[in-house]
Amino acid sequence: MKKNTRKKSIVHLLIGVCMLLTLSSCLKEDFTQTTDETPNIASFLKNSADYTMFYDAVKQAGAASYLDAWGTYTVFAPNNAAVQRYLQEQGKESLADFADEEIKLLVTQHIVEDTVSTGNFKDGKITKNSVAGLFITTSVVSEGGQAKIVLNKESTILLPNQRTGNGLVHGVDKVFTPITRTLVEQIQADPNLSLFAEALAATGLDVLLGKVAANEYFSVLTVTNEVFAQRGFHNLQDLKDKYSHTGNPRNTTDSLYMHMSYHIVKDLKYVSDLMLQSSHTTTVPNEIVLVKVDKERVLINEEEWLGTIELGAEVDRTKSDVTTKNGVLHYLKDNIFIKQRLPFPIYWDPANQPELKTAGIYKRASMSVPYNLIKDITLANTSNYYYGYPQTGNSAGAVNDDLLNFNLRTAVLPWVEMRTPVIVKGRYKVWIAWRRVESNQGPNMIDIYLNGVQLSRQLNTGEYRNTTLNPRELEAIGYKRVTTTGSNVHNCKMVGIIDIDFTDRHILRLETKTNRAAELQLDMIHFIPVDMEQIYPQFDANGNPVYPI
Amino acid sequence: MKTIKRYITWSIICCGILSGSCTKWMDIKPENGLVAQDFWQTKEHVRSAVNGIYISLLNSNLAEQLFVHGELRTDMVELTTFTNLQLDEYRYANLNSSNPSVHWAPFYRIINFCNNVIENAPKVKDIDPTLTQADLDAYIGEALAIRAWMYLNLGRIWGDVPLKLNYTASDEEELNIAKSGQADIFAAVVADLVRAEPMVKETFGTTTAADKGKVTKYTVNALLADVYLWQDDFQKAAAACDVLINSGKFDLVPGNPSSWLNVLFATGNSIEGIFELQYDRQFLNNFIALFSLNPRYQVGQNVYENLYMIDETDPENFDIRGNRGSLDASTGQIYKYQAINRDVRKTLEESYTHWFVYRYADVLLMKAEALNGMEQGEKALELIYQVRERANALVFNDLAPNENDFQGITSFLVDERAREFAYEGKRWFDVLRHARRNNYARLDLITNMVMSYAPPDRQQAMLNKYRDPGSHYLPIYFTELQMNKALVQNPFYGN
Repeated sequence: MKKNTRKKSIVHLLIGVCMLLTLSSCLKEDFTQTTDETPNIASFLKNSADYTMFYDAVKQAGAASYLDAWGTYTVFAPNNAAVQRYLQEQGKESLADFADEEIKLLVTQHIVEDTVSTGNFKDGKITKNSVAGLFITTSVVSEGGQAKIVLNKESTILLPNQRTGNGLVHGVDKVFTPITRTLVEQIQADPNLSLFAEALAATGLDVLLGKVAANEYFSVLTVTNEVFAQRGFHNLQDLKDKYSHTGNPRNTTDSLYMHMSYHIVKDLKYVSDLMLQSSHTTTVPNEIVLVKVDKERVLINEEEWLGTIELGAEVDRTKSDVTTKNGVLHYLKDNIFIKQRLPFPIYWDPANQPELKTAGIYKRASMSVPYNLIKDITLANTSNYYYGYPQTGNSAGAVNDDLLNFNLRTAVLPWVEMRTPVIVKGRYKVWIAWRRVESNQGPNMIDIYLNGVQLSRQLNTGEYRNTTLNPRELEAIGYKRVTTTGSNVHNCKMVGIIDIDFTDRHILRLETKTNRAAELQLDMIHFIPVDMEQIYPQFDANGNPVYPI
Repeated sequence: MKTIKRYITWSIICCGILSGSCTKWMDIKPENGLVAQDFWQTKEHVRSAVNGIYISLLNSNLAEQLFVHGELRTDMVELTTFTNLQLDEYRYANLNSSNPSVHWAPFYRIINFCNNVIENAPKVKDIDPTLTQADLDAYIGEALAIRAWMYLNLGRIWGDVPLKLNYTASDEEELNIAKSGQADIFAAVVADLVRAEPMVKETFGTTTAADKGKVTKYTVNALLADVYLWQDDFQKAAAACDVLINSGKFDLVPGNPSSWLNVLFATGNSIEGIFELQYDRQFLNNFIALFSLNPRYQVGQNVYENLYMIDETDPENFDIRGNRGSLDASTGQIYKYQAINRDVRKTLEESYTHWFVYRYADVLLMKAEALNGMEQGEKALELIYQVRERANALVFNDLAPNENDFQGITSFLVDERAREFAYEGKRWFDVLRHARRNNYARLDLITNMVMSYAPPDRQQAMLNKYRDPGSHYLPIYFTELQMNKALVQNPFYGN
């Protein structure tokens, strides 16, 4: 009896287990099939409270599929109120009233194929264009003590940096106005620029600024009627009278043509781009505009020239940075002019660098200069160089009592590049003064390049200065004496004649293909116009010029 | 039958074993440490808990935190190639809540250690009668003062922060605490300090290191002066400074170029020191690594030339705080923390220059600030010149403001503080404190400073952000927002 019951219960147990197994296999278990549950951009918009109308537009434009797929995007999503307002402005009842092309442009100009968080924003445009191919600019404005991030000068970010599965969403309060104007159209649209527009038309430059071509952009520094009036130009005739010396402003050598085209800077440059470099090429051949930053002010062509300060024109930062299809428009608070400069000699001590002065070293002490300290000197690698002061023994007598020593040899430092002071366009002889050094194996041979063009003569680091020839004979074979006190270890050689095409700072490169243990101990570099005195002045150890008595 | 008996015997044995092991398991304690129930029994426990607070000041990387928050947003430093993106974003006003620099954990960690002492130490008195009331008060006073210092930091770095004044022992407690306003935080700081002032000791009567490394009555008064200045309560700030000035225990280290740097900084605990974080050979800091080996921060572009300035005509006439004082001009490195003296640097094994929370020069200049606030310009200038003379400040940067020109004195004072406390984690707070006074009457102090170091392509964005006072305080780190549902992000940083 007992045995029987036990058997029965085992059978029951087995049946029970079997039933359980069948049951569990019947139930379909709900596995999560994704590794991440973060919504993608399209579903983020769809499920948001305030961006559903933009989602409808995205869907209508056919962008919903890729905004819900793998990728990296940034979407500047206008909220419902913004889309509603846009509909009203356009006089439409609903999104469905837009043509396919219109809605496509509307949507794609809010999408960037990259992840751009507000942390990447700088003054000016974001690095990548929208899918529609248009620029998006960013700025921060302060309104009533509150900072706001504003896009395209019109649309404020309300909801920044919403991270989704395939990129970022920034909620904004206004639909971007599609950029439809060219530079010319933009200039013509502003009544304050009517004279500027007239002058452009008279010179035929309006054609250039009306053309839209891939990768061809201009930045126009415009001048308002008011500013022209301050300078005494009230109408086109005034401008013609002053500038148009050939009588035909369409002639590219006519001064009015050149004056107007001097206001057109090549490439797309927002104010912040202008600030980053000290000079920018214009559409006038070989003419540049100089940019100086004084705290918040950006000044065009303000410079110290031969000891006097020439006042420049300030950029009106609040009005500037107007984006168009083929460039950007700026407003100046004064007019700018091409300046006629006559070539003059440059006696340059390459050690006279602001960084060395800031460090309190220049003409004060020696120092091993870290390779990246001086921003105007670029090296082939990270070898440091040496600023030597004062010079003693037979090195004594160097100009300014200092030398800049580069271990220029293929195994250590194959080349070095220096940015020169501003050199006015013209034809120059280039002189290099150095202290001669050579090793047991001999000297290094150094090639000199200016803006990538090799000069005709090499430098032999081991060469002594010839002391037997008289100065003019020496000049005739391309040497001179630069220091008044130094011995014949201080040499100076004319390394070539160059044509400087435009007034600017240029790049001088010293390069060697030899590998001797002989440094280049650089003292001075002279750029002297060919038709001027070449061998005077000489210099004493304090850097004072000395003329023959 | 036999089998059943055997079963019964075995099960009894098993039960015995099991129940035995059960009790022991319930009762097991770590062999090499104390658990909470066994702590807070003797006066030694109180003492070690307070010492623990001081250790936490050293081992929670507090000094670098204070350096970053106090210097990164200023013209005193420049970032180098060794820096990282998070510092870059911090410096160029692109902070968001996921930037690890904005994590306030180190401050609250120390606050919790303080709360532990303040809450639990009084109970020990009943258990261990050898703990005197005076000693107990001193211990609690020290914890109160350090907690106040931490909240002062939180208040001036984040603005509004949660005020947690009781001990947190485990995660199970209610930790959803809303923010208190900055004014309430400062009020709490004052309350703690006023309570601590009569409790703490005037001197520990042992070593100078104890008197300079632990909280004394003078530390508390220096802190009080500081927080009163943040509250614009000049009367009380001056009074707190006077406690130190009239004590006769402090003086400026003489400005002898060959010894000044060594006595005040390299050795530390000088007559000028009030409260210093006591790094030593056993407890090194990472300053040498930070400022010399892989320098993340170096000297700002204009510091030597425009702040300290150079006498071109006489090389012997120099500000001792300039080249080879606070900075090394030839390498652009921050020199203060790696100097043995003007000529010799410390090695990595000697990186124990203290962190200076307060020193006497600070008290003098805090008093000058208070006097200037009370429109006593002449007396304020006297104190500023006292500090300048010690350092042989050059005449070129003597702005020589008129004694009634209170704005002029303010500018002069802010500059002088920059020179005197270069790289001591004070610059940003000095500029902010002066700028925000009288409803941001001197916002120009901030904007001018930002303009001097902002890169051109960020200048406008940075300036317009700094014109919004919301940007002067940091965002709350995102993990804090996730864990503490009562927290709301600071409005400037949006969602």
